[in-house]
Order: sequence, then C-alpha cells, then structure tokens
Amino acid sequence: MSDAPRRTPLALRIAASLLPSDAREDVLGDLVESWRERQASHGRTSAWLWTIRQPLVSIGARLAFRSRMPRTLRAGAGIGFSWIDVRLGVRMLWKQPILTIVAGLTLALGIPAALIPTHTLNVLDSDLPVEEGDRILGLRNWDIQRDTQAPQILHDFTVWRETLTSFQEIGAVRPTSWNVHSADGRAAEVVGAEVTASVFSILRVPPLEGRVLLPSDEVEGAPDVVVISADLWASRFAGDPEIVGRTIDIGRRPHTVVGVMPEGFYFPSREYLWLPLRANATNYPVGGGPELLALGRLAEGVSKSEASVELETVGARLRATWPETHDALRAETISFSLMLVGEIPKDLGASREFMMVQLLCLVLLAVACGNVGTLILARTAMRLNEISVRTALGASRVRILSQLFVESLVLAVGATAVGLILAQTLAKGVVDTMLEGELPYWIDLHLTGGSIALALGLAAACALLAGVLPAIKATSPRIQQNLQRHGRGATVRFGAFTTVLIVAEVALSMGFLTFGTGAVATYLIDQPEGYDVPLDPFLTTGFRTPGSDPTESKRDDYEREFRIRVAQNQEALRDRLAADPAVRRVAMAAQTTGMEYPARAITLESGQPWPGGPVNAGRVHIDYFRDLGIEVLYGRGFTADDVATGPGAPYPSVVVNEDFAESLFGSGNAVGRRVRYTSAPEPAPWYEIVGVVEAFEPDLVDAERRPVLYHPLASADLNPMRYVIEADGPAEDFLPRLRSIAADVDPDAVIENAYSADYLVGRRELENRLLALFVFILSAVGMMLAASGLYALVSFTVSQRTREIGIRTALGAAASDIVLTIARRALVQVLIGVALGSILASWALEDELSMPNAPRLIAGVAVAVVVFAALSCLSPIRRGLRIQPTEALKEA
Amino acid sequence: MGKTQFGELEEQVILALLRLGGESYALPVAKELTTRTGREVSPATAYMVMRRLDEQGFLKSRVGDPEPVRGGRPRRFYRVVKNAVLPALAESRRARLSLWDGLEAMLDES
Repeated sequence: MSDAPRRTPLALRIAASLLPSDAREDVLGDLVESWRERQASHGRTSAWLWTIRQPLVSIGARLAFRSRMPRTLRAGAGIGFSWIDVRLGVRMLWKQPILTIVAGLTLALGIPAALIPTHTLNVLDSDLPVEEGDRILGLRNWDIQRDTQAPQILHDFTVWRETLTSFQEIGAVRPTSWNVHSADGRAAEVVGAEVTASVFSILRVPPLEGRVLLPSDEVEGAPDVVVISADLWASRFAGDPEIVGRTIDIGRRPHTVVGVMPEGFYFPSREYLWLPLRANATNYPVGGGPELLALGRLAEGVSKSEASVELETVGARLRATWPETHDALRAETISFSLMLVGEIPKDLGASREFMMVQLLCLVLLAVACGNVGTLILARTAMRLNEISVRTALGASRVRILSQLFVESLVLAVGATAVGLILAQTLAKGVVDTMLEGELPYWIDLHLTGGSIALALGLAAACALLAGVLPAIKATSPRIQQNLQRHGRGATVRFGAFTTVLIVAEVALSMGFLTFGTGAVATYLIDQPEGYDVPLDPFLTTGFRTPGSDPTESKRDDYEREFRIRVAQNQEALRDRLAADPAVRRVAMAAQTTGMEYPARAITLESGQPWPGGPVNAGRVHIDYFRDLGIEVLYGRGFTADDVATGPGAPYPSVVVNEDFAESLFGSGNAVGRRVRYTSAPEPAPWYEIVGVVEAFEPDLVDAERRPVLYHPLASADLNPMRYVIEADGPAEDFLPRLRSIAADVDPDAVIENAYSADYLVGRRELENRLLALFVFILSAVGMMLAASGLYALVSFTVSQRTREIGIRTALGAAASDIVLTIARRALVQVLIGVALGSILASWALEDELSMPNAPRLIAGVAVAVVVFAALSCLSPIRRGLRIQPTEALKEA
Repeated sequence: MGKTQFGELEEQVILALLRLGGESYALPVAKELTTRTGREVSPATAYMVMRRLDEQGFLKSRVGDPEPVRGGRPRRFYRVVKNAVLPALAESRRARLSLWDGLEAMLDES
C-alpha cells in the first residue's frame, strides 16, 4: 500500500462534515485510514461501497451520540415521525383554540387560493367526457402576429383531413343557433352546431334513438336532416316516441330528425341540435369561409407529440403554398377543451402571465404563512422552557424540530381539508346558482387527485415555513445558551420582517375594508332607488339575420345585398312591432335597457380632460329618440345625414342628454361644442354635439341619472341589432308574440338573448352584490391576518416581559402604564398601517367609486381598524395585567 | 450521585478499549467491536461514543503524531480512566450476571 498522498473521497469528506466541527478532522483521519486498509484487504469496489455508506452512518452517529440522553429518548433520536407527535400536535391545537382558529382559517383561505390558477387550468384543460377522451385533440391555426386563434380554417381543414396520417379521423364544428318551430307553430332560438359526420365517430357516442349524421348527409343537395339532444326532444317535442323520421322547421327549411343523442351530450359546449356541415372549400377564397373548430382522434399507437410534429410540418407546407394569407399562421395541436374556451395560447401553463398570477397567489400564501409563523413563534417562545428541559434531557435539536414540524403539519393539513371543502362547496354554489347551464358540459369543477396532492404539498410547505423556521429560531444554540445562563428572558425577538408584515397587513386590510364597506354600502345596504318609470313592461332582445347559403357568398355583390336584406329585416321588425297593439314603443340600439353603457373619459375642446370622471357612451339608431318619444331640448336629433358616410369611419355627430350638457357646459345648451375620447388612438376624432335630449331613465342599468353621450347607428350597422320594447303589459308575456312577429319578418332570422329589463337589472344587482361580498371577504381575511399578527405580537411581549411587568406592578405602576408597555409596539405598527391604509383607501375610492362621503368612510374604517386591533390585543393585555409580583419573583 | 449506567454500545466500547491495552483510537476499537461482537461498527460511531465518554470523564484523550496513512492527520487516542469506569463496569456486570442467574440452562435447551 502506498503512503503517497491521495485525494480523500468526497463521500468521506461529506461524512466528516456531518459531524460536530471539532470532531471532523479526527474522524476523517480514521475514515481515510480505514478506507485504505479496506482497499488493500477487500479490494477497491468493496472499499468504495463502504465509502458511500459513511455519510449515512455519520448522521446516525451524530444523532444517536450527540449528548447523553435517557435510553427512552435515544430510541427516537432520529427525524422519524411517530403517531405520538401527531397526537401531541392535535392536543396542542385543542389546548390553544384561538391560535388554532386564527391560524387554521388563515391557511384554510390561503392554501385553496394558491391552488386556484393551477386548478382552473386543469379544469379548462380537461379531456372530453367520452371514450378515450384523452386521445382527442384540437387542431388550429394560431396567428402569431395577433396572438389569437385564426378561425377561418376551411381550406386548411380540407388539407389536414386528406393528408394527416396521425389521426384516425378529423372533424369540424361550427357552433351557431337557429329558430326551431315546434308543432304548435311557436319559434324559438335553439343553440346548435353544424358538424361533419366524422365528429360522431371521433366522439364514439352512440345515439339514443335513430342514427348519427353520415358522410352522405354532408353532400350538397342531400336531404336536410338533423340530430337533436335528449333535452330538446323532451322539452320541445314532449319526448314524442315517433320523433325519428318526423319533420321539423329549422329556419324556413324543413329538416328530418334522424337521431336523438343521449342525455348529457351537448357537444361541443352546450349545444342542443346538430346539422351536417356542408361547407365546401372551393366556394371560398383561401382564408375565407365559415369559422370552424377542428378536432381529431389520434390513430392507434401515435403519440400526441408525433401528431403535433406532423401537423406543424403540413402547416409549414401550407404557409409556403399560401404565403399571403398564412404568413403569420402556425398550425398546432392543442387540447380541444382549451381551444374551445377561447383565445388561449397553447403553452398557457408556461406563459409569463400565468406564472405571474400563480406567483401572486403564492405570495399571498407566503404572507399568510408569515403570519401563522409569527403566531407559532410566539407559542414556541412561550414553550422555551419546555424545549430547554427536553434539550437538557438529551433530546436532539432535530428531534425537537421534527416534533414542532409535525405539530404545524397537523394544523396545515387540517386547515387544507377545511379550505378544500369550503372551496368545493362555494364553487358548486356559484355553478348551481349563477352559472347554471352556462358552462361547457365537459367542465367538472370537482377537485382532482392532482389538485388534492398539490394542496397537501402546499400544506407541507406551509408547515415548514410557518412551523419549522420559527422553531429553528427558538431552538438555536445561542438562545438555549442564553436560557441556561439567564433563565427566562428576552431571548427570541420579533424582527423587522414581522414589523413590516404587520404594518403591510393593517394597511392592506384598511384599504380593502374601506373599499369593501363602500361597495357593501353601495350595493348591499343602499338599495337602488326605484325607477320613476316602471321597468316591468320593458323587454330587450337581439335580432340576427343569418347569412345565406355558402354558395351565394362567392358573388361580388353578396356583401352589399346582404346588408340591404339585414337593414330591411331590422326595420321591418321595428315597424311590425310598433304597429302591434300590444306594444307601446320600440327602438333599436347597440345597448338597451338594463345593459351598461361603456364608461369613457372625454377631453374638451380646450384640450383639458373633463375632471368629472367618465361619461356613459351609447350607440343608438338614428330614429331612437323619435321612436321612444324622447324630447329634443336643444338642437336636433339624428337624421339620415349623420350616417351618410357609411359604417367605415366614425360618424362625426353626437347627441347628449341634459345631464351631460349641464355638468359639462354649465348650461343646458351644448349644441355646437366638440368633445373627443381621451383614450382613443391618435388622431382621435372630434365629435360635434348636434343636440341635447331629455334624460331617459330606462337607458341605464340603475336609476341614477348620469351624463350620457349617444352615437348614431344606421340599420344593418349591427347584426344582431338590439331592440328595446315597451309592451302594454308584463314584458315576459309579450315574448311569444315577439318570436312569432320575428318569424313572420324572416323565418331564418333569430331572436336571441331576449330578457326582461327586470331580469337584467336583477342580474346586475346580484353580480354587484356578489362582487361586494367578495371584496368584503377579502378585507375580512386581510383584517384577520393583521389581527392575528397583532395578537401574536402582544401575547409574545407579555410572555417575554412577565418579570418586568410583575416588578412594576409590585412597585405600584398604574395599569395604563403597563398597558402602554405591553402594547406600545403594536400600537405604533397599527397607527403606521392605518396611515398608509388611509392613503391607499382614498386613492382607491377616488379612482373606483365616486363617493361623496369618502373621507367620513375612511375615518370610520380607521377607527374600526384601531378598535379591532385593540380587541385582538385585549386577551394578552388582560393576561399581562393579571401578572402577580410573586410570579415575577419566581421567574427571577 | 446516583449510580452510573452505561448504554450497551458505551459498555462495549470501553471493554474493547480495555482489551486493546486501555488506550487506543477509533479505528482499532471499531474493528475490535466488529471482530468480537459481529456487529458492524463504523469508526465514526466509535469515535462519537468515545468523545462523549471523554466529556463525561470516563475516558481521557490525547493527540498523536500526524500520520501519512491518514492523509497527514494525527490520531486521537482515548485512555480508560479506570477508577471512574471500573466500579460502573463491575456494577453493570454484576447486575447482568444476577439477571442471568439460573437462566443459562434455558440457553442450552434452545
């Protein structure tokens, strides 16, 4: 064996480094000597195997023989968890209910909140609920210049279908809606889709009755057929057992029902009937044609990435063939459900925006953990004596840390369970009440195994962050030495981090609370004043004229002729309605009763932005004021001249209401003045005010009068156009009559989104209330976080200064002095927080709510925050005041 | 002061040291333990036990000369402080034998 110096194996150096610093060199010498002997006697391999075991042995030796300890403790000297720790953890939670509730609720809110982004992505990215749904992919063109999905893919689809071998089959869908006439002649809008026959074989869902669509149905000139959903069969055709073979009118054409799909099938999103897609690419220019969604089922043995590569290759070829239309397009596969949700980039989960949202949620959770950590630090500090006794008895630091970790873990896991149950119940509640029937049928909000695993991982991270970090601080050798030398005393300190945390929390909760109280006061307590005009007879509806047969769209004059047809339909419907005895008045507009007009900031001729805040800007038909009988106070209403330029450029004339004229120009007469939108891109057009009209209440979503600016609209500028109808009775009773008149005007035209104003206003109020409630909950959470931090700080101060308080009590100090001693730091933090929060709140109120009594509200909330903070300190302060001098002597 | 009771490994390490002439370092002690008891003991473990016995006054340590075979590091020798250790060892042996008394036959039966 050579004695020449050789490199010491890394494993041995690691093994030695795991031992106390003053033992390392000695042991390393022993290990090196032993290793060389082994090399000589057992061979190199055996020596190396022995070497790599040594770090583990060192850990064991350090843990087991660090100091003298009773054998009972030595047995459990390692890091390992035991059920005893779990039981201890549960007992600690039971013994300190306030801490448990505050810390538990904090984590119960924080952990599910941190899960939201990932869970939402998982929910949206779910597989279709069909056989081997994970083998179905969406195919699309992504426009890299506009960052959107390019929907007109008819030509691409045709090529994909012919060339791609990675897919068994490829199909296309075009969601739309039709007027469906039932047996009694009633027509109603039904949401459905035009689909290729292949869609049914991709989905592998057999029909409940009859058959699905066949390729022969797609041929132009084939008999018109339809497949309907089980819902539609039950609701519109009373479950007629002879439905297959029966003819129903869809638009103006009779269609034969060939099949009924089973219950729960609403492909692609929430559709109720399916017609064959008869789009022929030869009828359209490249990049034209109907908007389609394409999907395919992977061929046997082909992976998603292989299919993706093939599609990208074909896409690149098409880009070379059609550079004019396809230069910015990239063909790609994506989960079909994600494609359906909308303009979502393929790698959303890896995108910067998603990461930012996820990071924000994690930061919130970290703040929650910081608070819980503060609480646990305070509790650990109160248990310093227990910890030092255990250390003296020989418990290793690791052993104590692992027990404290298990205690926090019990808390975090319990809180996670409560939080997940709450989140699930809340999500179900929202889906059942607000979104009933609106979400795609494949969306399942239930927690998945993955989400639960992630939540538990977060719980473990929280336990580490909130439980072990404070414990490491409390069990550090320096503090243990201090304890040995001085007994109980100021050993653990709250650092600057805790101060910043508490101040930030008070400030944020103050801001949220002001905003929340403002919102609650506006939407929950102050019920909106009733309208002077009863809303009951007002009905609002969309009216859409569908395009003609695709073959006609090739004609050059198609666009112009179609526009004429749309305009004729729109005016005919208005005139027919106006002539109906059940209608008092009717008018056309982009937004109608119960719908919010967009709010926009404006600039005056002087170049100064108008300081009064945004105004409501609406678009109304040129006959709107005449049709509704709104009086023109100054100037004139709109005329056909105002829209003579056609829809290409903005129309230069506007009309304002009397509130606008008065608040902007001080007098009722604003005719001839010019305004423009502050945020419009340069050169922002100027609009000339040509008339002032009286305020028309049912224009607006609430009864409050506001400045309104009207832009003119010509017939056919919008398709669908919206109508506001005042019926001669309850709005809902008029709806069937409306449908029948619309069907008379054009059997193909669709009445869509028809609502009574009462319903719209009610829905808006509900949304506002929910928003207010949400903000209020947020502020309550913020307040609770701050309160828990303050509680921890003050109770910590009391436990740290027991001796001082006792001595001062013995010397006859006044109670107020003692309270100040205990709560001074907390008080300073609260006051700084309140000051910062007031600034935040006034900024928020100024920008978001134009509330006249904002200063009073802020002052009120500031007082409430201080009182709440004082209340959260009450229990530890009382504990401090009850300290007896004898107790202090005991401590000394 | 109450009676001192060694743990099993502590007792074995002291006995191994005594067998090695009353003074040695971790590596031979570990090897002696492995040879005599069949229990694989690493030098690190033997060292940590001896170090603690040193802190408690049962052993005394001294540093030897630097050794090339140890990469130039010296050995740390531990010597048994007999008047501290022997009474405790004797008590431990007595207690053990007393417990075994009359039970040896059982081992023959098994």
